[in-house]
Amino acid sequence: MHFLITVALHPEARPLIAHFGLKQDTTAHAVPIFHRDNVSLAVSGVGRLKSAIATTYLLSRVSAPDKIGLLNIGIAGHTQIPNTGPVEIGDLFLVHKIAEQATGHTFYPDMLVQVHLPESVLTTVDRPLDQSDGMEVEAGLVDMEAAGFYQAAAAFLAPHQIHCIKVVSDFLEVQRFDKAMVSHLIEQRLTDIDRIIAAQNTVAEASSDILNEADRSMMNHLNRCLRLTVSQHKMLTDTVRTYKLHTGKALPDLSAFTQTVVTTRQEGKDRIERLGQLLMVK
Amino acid sequence: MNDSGNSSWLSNFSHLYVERAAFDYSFAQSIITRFPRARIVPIDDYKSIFARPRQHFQIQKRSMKLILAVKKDRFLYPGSGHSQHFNLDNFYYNTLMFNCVYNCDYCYLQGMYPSANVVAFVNTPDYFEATRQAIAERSNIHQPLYVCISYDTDLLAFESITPYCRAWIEFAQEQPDLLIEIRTKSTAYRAIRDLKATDRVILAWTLSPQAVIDRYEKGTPPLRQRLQAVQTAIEDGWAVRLCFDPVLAVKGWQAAYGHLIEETFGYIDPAAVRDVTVGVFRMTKSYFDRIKKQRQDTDVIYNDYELEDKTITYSAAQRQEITAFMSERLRSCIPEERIAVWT
Repeated sequence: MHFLITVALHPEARPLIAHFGLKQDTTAHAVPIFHRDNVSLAVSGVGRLKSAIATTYLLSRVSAPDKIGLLNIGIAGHTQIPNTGPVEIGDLFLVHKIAEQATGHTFYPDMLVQVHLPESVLTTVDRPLDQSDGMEVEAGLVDMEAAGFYQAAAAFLAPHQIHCIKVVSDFLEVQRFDKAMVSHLIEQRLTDIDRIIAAQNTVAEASSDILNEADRSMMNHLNRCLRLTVSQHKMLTDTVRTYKLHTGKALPDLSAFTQTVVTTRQEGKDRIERLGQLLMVK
Repeated sequence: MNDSGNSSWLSNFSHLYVERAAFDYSFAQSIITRFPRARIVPIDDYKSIFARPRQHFQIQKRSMKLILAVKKDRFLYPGSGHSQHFNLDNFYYNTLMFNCVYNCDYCYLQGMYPSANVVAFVNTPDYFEATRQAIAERSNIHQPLYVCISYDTDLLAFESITPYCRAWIEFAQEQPDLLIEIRTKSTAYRAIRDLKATDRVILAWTLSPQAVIDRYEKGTPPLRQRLQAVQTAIEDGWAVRLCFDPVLAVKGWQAAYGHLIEETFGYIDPAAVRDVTVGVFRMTKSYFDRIKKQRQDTDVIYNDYELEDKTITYSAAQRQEITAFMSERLRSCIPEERIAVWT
């Protein structure tokens, strides 16, 4: 499982970089990327377009899209009038609905796993919103990136792979943020962020394929040694799955098929045919 | 980083996504009150959540959500060629709900719908009006309008939440030229047991060998409980249909399905059964292909099928063998004219 994170601001990124031990990826030029093992983080800049670009850039640098969890993490305003409700500065919310103010479009991450964290609607606006401007958004969180992030992410990933986590930084009083304060807000919530990442793992592990890692490795060997076409690879994968599902057995030893690389098309066809006979379900 | 996945799944229907227009319907309000702990998320259009691209059906099945919506058009569809219709000319079905609480490995809904979330349409008066109009305009006035209301779902299984069966049985009682079929695997017959039986409603139970239920019909009641529900419905005077459909060519299928027929008619008086349907596994190719892309864990999908007229099914010879076997066994219990076979 590879976790990708986008944030808008460097002060939001700093505690995450420290927490996951990330190092700057010097091969990334368009967007600052930080990376270590199975975690990558992009700093997009402010606004939904920049967030969409950074998300796309981040996604373009990893393979195996079904093994990815993608998070947008950052600070957000809240529509509550200060000191009049339950929400406080520093509260973290998992977003179940993202509304894009400019278009009226709405987006919904799949909410599948229990994380014991509060949820909220979030509206993405194009300009900082102030309480004094009037409340033209649904009660809840307000940010400037999530709708762009989600739309870019949803072009590649399933809705259960995409999540948006926001920490309340203000009650829509336009002001300059103190960078240290922003970092502090995120830093306070790292345990919750870890919990959401664990939940994403639970979801990822639910996708069950009869083929295990050893089978996949063997399929890769066969692919190289038999020089399979895309179509042949698909058919052979089907044959292998059918064998395992119907027999309930592990694959037989296929190492004889991976000793040498075929040199002619006919040789490849012959080996595929022999493989098919070996894996035929009676 | 410790990223082991050990979180628990949210319960089904932890979230109710409700179209703003749906809040106005009492049917929706009664559903909402049944989920006091659910998070209610107002939405503009059910498609904005149901029709999202790249949803994973089987992952969503682990924690289904309920979407309450108002259907805007198409309250009746002409009957499908994949279904038996007992020579009833005015054959239609409707979609009161999308998706099902069960999760059968062979179910075409996995490939038909983009999402596993359940959509319930709450504007029942509009369905009734469309049905009244179709009754008036039906092509063969010597036959009733025949409407299957539980095709792309299992309404009875969800009756305690969305009492569609009750509403439609009461509607049918007022419509002399209407015949409805309610197909189910559920044993929730008790939810409608207080209603007076009418010959304008067929209660149809799908029956499978217990071994098939255990392996391929996840979440459904055991065979014996289904038979008990069937027996109770018959005793209460309902017209009952038994559906041996789909028959799966599992290992030892002859013994399994032969025993199923014996067990069924050892428990149920065949003379009390309105009719019986038989059909082998079949699925529209596009649905089948979509399922195969998403799940690689069931031998029902990874099998030696053939493609015939855009339908994935067993070879003609195997179909013939299965239907001949089932027909012969059933004919020993029930007259041939009351057996409908999909071939």
